[in-house]
Amino acid sequence: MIRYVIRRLIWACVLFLAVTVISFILFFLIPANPAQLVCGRACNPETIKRVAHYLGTDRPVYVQYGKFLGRLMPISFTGGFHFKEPSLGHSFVSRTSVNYIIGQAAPITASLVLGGAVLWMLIALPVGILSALRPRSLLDRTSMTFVLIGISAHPIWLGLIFSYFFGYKWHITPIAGYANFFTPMIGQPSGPWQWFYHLILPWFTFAALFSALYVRMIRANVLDTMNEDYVRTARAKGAPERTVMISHILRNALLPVVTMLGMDIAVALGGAVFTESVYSLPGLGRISINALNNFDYSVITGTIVFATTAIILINLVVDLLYAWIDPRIRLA
Amino acid sequence: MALLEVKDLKTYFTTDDGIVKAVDGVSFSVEKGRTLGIVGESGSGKSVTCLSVMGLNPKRSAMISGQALFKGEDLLRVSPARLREVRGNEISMIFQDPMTSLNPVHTIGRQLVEAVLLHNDDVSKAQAKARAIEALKAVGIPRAERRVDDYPHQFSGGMRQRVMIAMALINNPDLLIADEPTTALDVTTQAQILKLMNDLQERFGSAIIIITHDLGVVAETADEVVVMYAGKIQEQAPVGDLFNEPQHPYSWGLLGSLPRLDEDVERLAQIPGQPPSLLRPPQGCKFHPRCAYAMEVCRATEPELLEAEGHGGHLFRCWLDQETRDREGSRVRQTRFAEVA
Repeated sequence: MIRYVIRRLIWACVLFLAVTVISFILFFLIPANPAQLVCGRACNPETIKRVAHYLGTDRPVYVQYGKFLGRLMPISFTGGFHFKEPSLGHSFVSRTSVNYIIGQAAPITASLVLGGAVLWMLIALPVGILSALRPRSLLDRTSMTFVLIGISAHPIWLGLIFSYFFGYKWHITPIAGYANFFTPMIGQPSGPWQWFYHLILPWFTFAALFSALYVRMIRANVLDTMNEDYVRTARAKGAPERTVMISHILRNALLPVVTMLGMDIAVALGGAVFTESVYSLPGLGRISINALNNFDYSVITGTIVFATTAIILINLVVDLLYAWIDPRIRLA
Repeated sequence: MALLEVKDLKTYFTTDDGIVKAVDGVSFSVEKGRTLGIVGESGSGKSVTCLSVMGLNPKRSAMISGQALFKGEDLLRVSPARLREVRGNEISMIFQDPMTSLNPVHTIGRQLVEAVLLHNDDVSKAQAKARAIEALKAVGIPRAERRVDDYPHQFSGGMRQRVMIAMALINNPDLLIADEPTTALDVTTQAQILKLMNDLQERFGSAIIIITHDLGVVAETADEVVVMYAGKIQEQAPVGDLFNEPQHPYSWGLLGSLPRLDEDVERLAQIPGQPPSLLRPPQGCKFHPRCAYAMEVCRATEPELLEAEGHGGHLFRCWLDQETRDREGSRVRQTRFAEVA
């Protein structure tokens, strides 16, 4: 088990380096001069040069990458060996620390994605299992119809429909916007209830696609597992249906769902951009779109590095969790 | 009274293409301490017969009629709760594929303990585990105290089948149904498993129904044999009678296809053709399209299951006259079992 963990950790580091190198190189291949953009139209070549030097964009790519990595390390050798806070640099446009920008945006995206994941599992588990227990019943057919709608509907369209009816017409929820869970904002609603209240529509919008996919997957897995020989063995032992379902069918049918969930939370981070746009949530999706429009490289690479690390960590946790719940993985 | 008496059992499955008569009027009985072999090709209905008795067929599509009297109680008509009491306690079952018949995410100890606790309310978990270790020892699993906490994938096929047998016998059942218990195992392991089942039967006095397509297994274990084809019993006899005086052309075919070690043959004798589709079974005798002795009457009318003259308890279903049956039967015996007889 320990060797398995170590191997996974080494892989995570390699993956992290690969992603940062590629994203770094990719953005320096774009034929735009950030110094020019930061400086504005009125700048003369002399000023642009000074700005480029100030931003560090006049240096070769590998030097910039080295500096970038150096800032990221939690230790420093300049002025003697000491620990420091890893830094993602500063925004080219606003000169704010990228750490601060991401620190503001990440909790919003996390609220959306993790809350959405909880919601889609809350929908998909019971519906998927019940559909599998009664295949071709009214419930099964109804849920499969909703699955089709969920898979076909784009989150932006769905978000607009939701906020029009629930927010604008019926005043059940806010139309858009975000409320902090902890820190109060002056003149704005905040606190756990407001946070929850503002996220209801985004959660449902975000979860629609994935709950649809998961209903289908869970239904198929449960149906498959029901035909396994060991389920027959359990019945032949005289186990009541409830035990057969929980201890023998679900335990096996939900194993692949754990892996899928880990991978899909990563995919879902990308999908969060749409939901954030519709409901004006100032999350990671919004800041990366803004940064792209302004060629704000350090914010873009910062977001990518942060998202990559999050995804790698989530996958690591999922893999370890999987090894814990599936005894066949442990020895491999 | 017989321990289990199956009377006119019919199991039909409704499918999109029509009704499949998987088991069509099967009757047999098993006495305490005896072994019944059910023989036939794949799809002859031998497994479905036993699954029907245990109530383990898929419920929605199966139509079951007839009787399965276990100690006088009709298992086809008892409540689901009573049936659960019987399963794994009074009747238990071993399945064909030990690789897939154990739950991969639970330790074998937990699966054995589950079998104990389901039927014994007064047993503690620790006691159940002690019994599990005991059962594993009885089936010859080395270092049972440590192996009890292992997962199924840590055992070989033969060892897993031993675990299955331990699980089936842990509550001392009156009847053990073994559905092709040795088919997925290699030959040396097969012999060990069969010996184990015989030993355990002697120790506990259980009755056994062994389902197989292997007449060698039948010869080694069974007291009584039922030969099934296309959902019906074609021949039924004490094991010696079946091997010495087989009455049905299908039994001749099965006996003739046994490999012999003392003779060099290019090809094994085989029964020509395929088992019939149970959706559209042939008219008349179900075996006639593959039978070398088929006559006009065979194509028109299905023969009844009758008792052979001069042989009590030897039943067969064939239109052939006695002279032909005796001649062909003894020819099969002489060519196949000269040394044995």
